[in-house]
Order: sequence, then structure tokens, then C-alpha cells
Amino acid sequence: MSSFFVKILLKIISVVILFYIILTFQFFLFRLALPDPTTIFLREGLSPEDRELIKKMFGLDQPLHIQYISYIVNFFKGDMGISFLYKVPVSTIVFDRLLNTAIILIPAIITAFIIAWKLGSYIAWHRGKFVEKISVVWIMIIHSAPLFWLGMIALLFFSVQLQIFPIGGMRTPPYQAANFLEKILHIDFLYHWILPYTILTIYFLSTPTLIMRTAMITTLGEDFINVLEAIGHPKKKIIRDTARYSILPLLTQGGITIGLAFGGSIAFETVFSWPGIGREILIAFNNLDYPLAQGIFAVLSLAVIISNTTVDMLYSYLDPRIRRG
Amino acid sequence: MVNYTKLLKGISKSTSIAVLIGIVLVAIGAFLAFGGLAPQQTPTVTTPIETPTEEKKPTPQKEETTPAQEQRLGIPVQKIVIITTTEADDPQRWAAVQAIAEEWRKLGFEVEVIGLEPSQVDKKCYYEWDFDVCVFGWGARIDRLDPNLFLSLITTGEIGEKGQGANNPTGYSNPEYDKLYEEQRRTLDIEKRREIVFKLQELWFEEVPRFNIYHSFVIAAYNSEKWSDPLIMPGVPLFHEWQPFFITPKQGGMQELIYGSHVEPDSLNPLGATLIFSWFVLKNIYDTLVRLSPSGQPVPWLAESIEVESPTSILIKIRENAKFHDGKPITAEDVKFSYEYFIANEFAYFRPYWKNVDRVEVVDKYTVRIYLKEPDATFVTNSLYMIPILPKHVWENVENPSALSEEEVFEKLKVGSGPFKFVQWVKKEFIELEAFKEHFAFNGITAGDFEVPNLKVSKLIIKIYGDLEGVVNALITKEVDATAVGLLPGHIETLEKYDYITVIKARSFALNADLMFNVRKSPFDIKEVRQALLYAIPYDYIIEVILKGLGEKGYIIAPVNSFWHNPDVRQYEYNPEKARELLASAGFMWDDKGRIYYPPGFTPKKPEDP
Repeated sequence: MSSFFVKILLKIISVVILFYIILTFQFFLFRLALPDPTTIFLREGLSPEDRELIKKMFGLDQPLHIQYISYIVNFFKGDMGISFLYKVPVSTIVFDRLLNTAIILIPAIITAFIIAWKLGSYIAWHRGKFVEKISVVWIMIIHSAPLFWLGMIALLFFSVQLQIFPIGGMRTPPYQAANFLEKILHIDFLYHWILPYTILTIYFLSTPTLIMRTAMITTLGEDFINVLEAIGHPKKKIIRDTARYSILPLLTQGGITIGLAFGGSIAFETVFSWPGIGREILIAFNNLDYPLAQGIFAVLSLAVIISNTTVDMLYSYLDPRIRRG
Repeated sequence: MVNYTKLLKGISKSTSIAVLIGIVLVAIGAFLAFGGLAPQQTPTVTTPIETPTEEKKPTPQKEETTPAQEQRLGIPVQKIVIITTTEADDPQRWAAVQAIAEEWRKLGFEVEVIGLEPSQVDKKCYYEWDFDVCVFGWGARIDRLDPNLFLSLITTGEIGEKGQGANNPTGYSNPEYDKLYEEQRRTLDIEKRREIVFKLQELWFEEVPRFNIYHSFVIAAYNSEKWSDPLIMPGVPLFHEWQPFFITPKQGGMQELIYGSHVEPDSLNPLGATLIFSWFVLKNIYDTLVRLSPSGQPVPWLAESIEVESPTSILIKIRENAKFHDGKPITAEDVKFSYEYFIANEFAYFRPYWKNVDRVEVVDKYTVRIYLKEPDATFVTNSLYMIPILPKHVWENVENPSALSEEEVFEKLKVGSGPFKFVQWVKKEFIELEAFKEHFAFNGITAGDFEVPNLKVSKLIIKIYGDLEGVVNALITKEVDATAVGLLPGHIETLEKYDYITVIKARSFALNADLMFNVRKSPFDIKEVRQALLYAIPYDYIIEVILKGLGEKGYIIAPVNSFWHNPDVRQYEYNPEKARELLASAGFMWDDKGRIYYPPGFTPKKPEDP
């Protein structure tokens, strides 16, 4: 048992080291790839002297290694710097937008995976029948459709043509909300939330359903299923048990999906005007806002690392063989 | 079952390593894409095909053993590389540049077009001067109705140093032009200044080191079922500070006006905001001493009268009935404080507006005198128009205003001086402003000779969408009343299907395709070549086909800026024969294949390497 905790400890240490490497990498990467951030002020008609003043204000006149050290030290203190564009701490922007993204992404992914679990096992059970063929075709269609396209079609149909859903945003302005909870605990929020949520759920559905189907088919080929059938177990019960037995690959996929979904949220946030983190990535790059870009990337990579690590650990809990191996 | 578990174990163990390897690969890929590839293009941009000697004077090259024909023709003109923004960034500019390249090829030039991200274009052209021809643009900001900034774009003073990124990367330097430019900046008599500005334009069009190919129209739309009679400003048709006084609700009274935008302010801190969009919003919250009329003329706004006493002192009397949103009167002290506050905090974004202020003197409770360091004709139209009047009693104890937190800024914004009170800003969602009933212009006012009717908007809301399509759709579903941003030509057809939407195509003074020649290099150092290249631009094709008629031929000072625009300058029409004549008159020749050569004995100039 104690070796189990040592393993977890080692895991955490490796995660921290990995994260540090990522931070270092992106710090230099952005500076190599992007031009001087005051370049954008050229089109505002500012002369080189004016821009020097701005550089000084953001500490960009310091040598690169000094900037790097203060960046890393401040980062582990929880300070991600000041956004060049918004002139406020990056952490407040990232936290605020992350919540907005999470409130739609997490429910959509969870719903998608629950449906995928049920649907996948159902399709696998009916392998070779008409219902399987038709559902697989549909799932493949959804699987190959880009998210922004799905969103635009849904918007054009439901919002522009039928006008039963709003065009975008989280609430109808103007509204008063003191905090995040107050903002979302409102019927108007639900009204704005339901369409992007449905589209996201449909979008996230395809991959796990196919995975579940494959896993289920593998399990259904096992000897003990034949035995269960032979001793007269009811069909429903067999499906249920087999589905639970085949959940592991779904879990892996779940971890990866959650980790990557935050980074890939640009498409639906832009189409549905959702005030999330994905849109900030685009804005940060267009405005050469290194601190904001770094902050978002750090948080996104952290999301990937954490979700993968959590799945790893969940595995060993669910399947004791991995703990031993 | 066994196989499966093995597979899972493998994934589980190697997850971290896989992530690390992935990131390394992505990093290397990105480095190659951005940093790695760019320098590789450098040789094709700077090195002429035939490497000439470094001597500046044209010298005959009799010693060189070139073929007989080459000897007679001189050196072939090296490849011209046109750097511009990508198709995704501005499809029209991209298509126009392609059309130009095609025409220049017909003249015998070898032309290559490179599309780069806007910031990379700036880096290459403005900072590194590493270009032959560069096409980018300058946006329409109301303060740019004053010709000063655009006219400065070819002055010697704006060349600066390499790596500094000043506004004149062409390297063009003409003492005659510089002298006239300085003169117009110092001439306070507007009629006299206009004459000099006209002369500058004539000189510019004769020399053309830089040329704007077209001005595209700005497309905007509003809900004409709910609103009528908007005031159209050049360049920014609907979303400007006058609009709440002019756009009239069909229902009568005061109504809520909702703008749709996909751009959001960066900040609403008056000592932090560095996007012009933010200032369009801030101008509703904080008044300035002067506003600009649709024809670009300064009209006294918070100031009741402006008197230019001497070239370096301006006497300003402010309106006695003007109040801050907390009910306190706006006095000369507040004006003095505001100007000095921007100077003391070295707010870089406003440096062009405050750098010439020497000091501000309070004459009496409602009168101030501003002393300038040197005479400046642009001071009234630029500085007085841009610098907002802040309440002294709110800001005077703030030590480092640009570092205020968001909450603190919002608190400070509650006490403004403009026609609208700040209510709230929910990031990436909306900004809400509310009419200030005690504003001096609430019931209408005559500002100078500009008649301003009463305020007709009870609440001003700017709703932020993810993209332009969102704004267009919201207009269709009546979620918003008007667009705050320019639309694309493709949207016109979509919107005109709805009878409750009116589409506006407003003329603009933006330089949408600002073409620069690098005059440090041959052949662009020869005036005839620059002129010939401009005669070979298919203007009609660009305007009728590429812009779909939504644009007009380019000038430096646009025709819509009628007071400063000089129509009697050298006109460049599409005329390939004239282009060839001009090139031939400068001694250029063509071989049998139609390739163009320098005059015999001419040594092309190339910029000295550092």
C-alpha cells in the first residue's frame, strides 16, 4: 500500500517538472515567434519614442533572462503577470473565462459520455442489424462535421430562421449579477445555454460512442458472456454488466477530451459568442499579448496534464491489475 | 482481454512522456513555421539577381565580360517582392495586390507576392526595411480627418532608424516637402494652412514614394423599423459620439439603443485604454473640450469658446452649466488637472496629444489658458479632441492610474463628464451606459455653427459577439439595433432581404491599400519608375470587380475629407502604354522575351548592409 502512495508522490513531482518545462518552453517560443508587442501601436500612429514608453511600462526593456526569472518566480506565486491588452492581471481574465467555458463544456462532455456509454453498448449488442448500420452512419456524419459548421447550421436554423433561440452570449443584456452563481442561476441563462450545450453534446458524442461500441464488442466475445447467456441471465442485465465491464477505454477518452476541449473551444465560443477562454487565445495572439497567451496556455496545458493524471490514478483504483503492474 | 489490458498499461505509463514529446514536436514545428522560415525568404527579398558593385554612382561596367546583348541592355531588373497582409486578413487588399502584380508582370518585371500576418508585415516593412514594395493600410479615426498624420508619412523626420519602426519606411527624403510639411504644422490660419496642404499633395502625387490605391466604403446597418435619421460620419458611419443625439426612435421619446460589435474595448481606464474602439466608448463617458463635426471641423463642446491668442497660447472658456455625474460642476481646475495628469503619468498612447503642452494656467473659475511649446495647427483638432476631462476630486489621489484594478476603474468611471453615465461592463458580453440627464447638451445645443439636437438614447448598450456573423444575425433577429463595426460586402445582400434593415455604404478616408516603394533600392529610386508602376495599376478593375463598386480611387487625403482634399493633383489612371513610355524615357529597355532591363551602364542601388 505504501508503494502506492510513493507512486502517487512521484507522479505529482513529475507533473510539476513537466509543467515547469512547458512554462519555460512557451516563454521562449512566444518571444521567438511573435514580433515586438508594441508593433500593434504602429497603426495607432504612435512614434518609436511613444512605443519605448509603453515597453518600459511593461518591463520589456529588461534583458530576456531577467524577464524569464521574474516570470517563473511570479508564476509559482500565482501571479501570471499583467495582460498587455487588458492592463489587468492575467489570472483574473483566465479564471473568469475558464468558468464561463467550464459551465458549458463539462456538462456537455458528461452528458455526451453518459449517452455514449448507453448508445455504444446498445449498438454493439445489436451488431449487424439495421439499427446498428443506421446509427453508425449517423455517428460518422457527426464525427466528420466540424464543430463550427454544426454550430453555424444550428444557429441559422434555430436562431435566424425559427428565432426560438438567441444568437449568442450568456444572458440578454443588460442584466445585473453580482457574481458568477447569480449570473447562471437564471432562466435567461438556460435559454442562452441550451443550444450550444446541445450542439456540443452531439459533437462530443461520436468518438466515445464508437469507442464504447468497439470495447463492448470485444467484451461480448468473451467466454463468460456465453456462460451468462447459457445459465439464463436476462438480456438487459447482461447488457448492463457488459457495459460496466467495458467502461475503461471510455474513461481514457473522457480524460483526454476534457483536457483538450478547453483548448479547442475557440470554434463554438466564436460561433455562439460565448465569453470563454478560447476567444481570448485568438485575441491574445492577434494583439501580441504574451502574458495573456502564456497564462492561457499554461492553464490549458495544466488541464491536459491533470486530466490525464487523474485518469491514470482512477485506473489503478478501478482496475487493481494496473496498480500491481 | 489480456491484449487489451496490456495496451492500456502502455498508455497509462507513457502518458507524461507522450505529452512532453508532443509539446517538443509542436514547439519545433512552430519555430520552423514562424522563426525558421522567415529569414530564409530574406535573400530573395534583398539580393538582386545580378549582384552589382557597392558603388553609388552609376558607372559603366566595361570590364565585365557579359554577353553582347546584356551589354547593350544593361542589367536585368531584379525580382520585385510585394509584401502584404494575408488573404484571411483582408481579402480585398490581397486580390488587389494580385491584380497589380499581374499588370506589373506585363511590363516585363518579375513579381512575387508574399502574404504575411499583419504584425509580421509591420516587422518586415516598418522595422527591418526588408522589402521592395509593401502594401498595408491605415485606419479611419476621426482625429485623422486632420491631414497632419497622413502627410507626415513621407517626411524625413518619420524615417527614423532601422529597427525602430517609424512611420516612413520608404526612406524617401525631400527637403522641399519637409519644409512645407513643417510650415503647415505651424500655420494656424486655416485657409493658409489649406493652401500648403494642397501643395503638399501635389508634390506627393508627383513624387509618389508611397501611394494609396483605394478607399473602400465602410458598410454598416441599422434597424430602420425602430430608428431613423442617423448621422453618418466618414469612416465610422454609425458608431460615434454624435449618434445618440441624432438617431431618432420611431416610437418617440428616449429609447434604448443596442449596438452589436465583435470588437471589445481593451480597457475603459482613461489612462490605460489603447484601442480606438475603447475611446469611441469612453468619449460617451468623458467629454472633451472639442468635438469634430462630420466635415472634420472642430466645434467647441465642453469648451464654450476657443481663442487662439498667439501661436503658442490658447484661451479656453468652458461651459458654466457643465457638471460631472456626481453633480459637481466642471471647472477650470478640472481641465488643468486632466491635461497635467496625462503628462505627469506619461500616458504613452496619448503622447502625440500632450507632448506639445508646455503648461496649463487657470485664469478664472471657468477659463484656462494652454501654453504650447511650439506652434501647432493640429492642437485643436487632435489634442483638444482626444484628451478627456476627468474629475479632479476623484483622480487626484490616484498615484499610478494605469495600474488600477478593474473594480477600481469601474468605480472611478461612475463619475464622468460626458452625456452618458457608466453602469457596467461584463467582459465579452456587453457594456451598459445610461443617459446623464443633467448634461449641458441634454436638451440640444448649438456648438459653434453645428446644431446638435436633444439626446434621444436613454440607454446605450454595446453587445459583444464572437464574430461578425453573430452581429449580422443579431441584426436580423432584432437583438441589436445597429452595427458598431464595419461589415463585409457579402453581408449587404444578406441584410437587404429584410425590409426593416437599412444598409449604409459610407465613404471613408482610411488608407486601405497603402503601397510603399523602398526608395533605397533600384529601380524604386527613380521617380519615373514609381510613376510608371502606378500607371500600370488597374484601378477600375480593383474598384468595380474586387471591391464590387464599394470603394473609390485612392488619395492620401480622401475626397470625403473635402476641406483638405486636393482634387487637382497628378491623376493616375490605368494606362500601360504611358507606363512603358515613362520607363523608356528613363532609359529602361526590354529584350525579345519582354523582360525589362536597366538603362545600359546603370548600376542598381541596393541598401548598404549593416
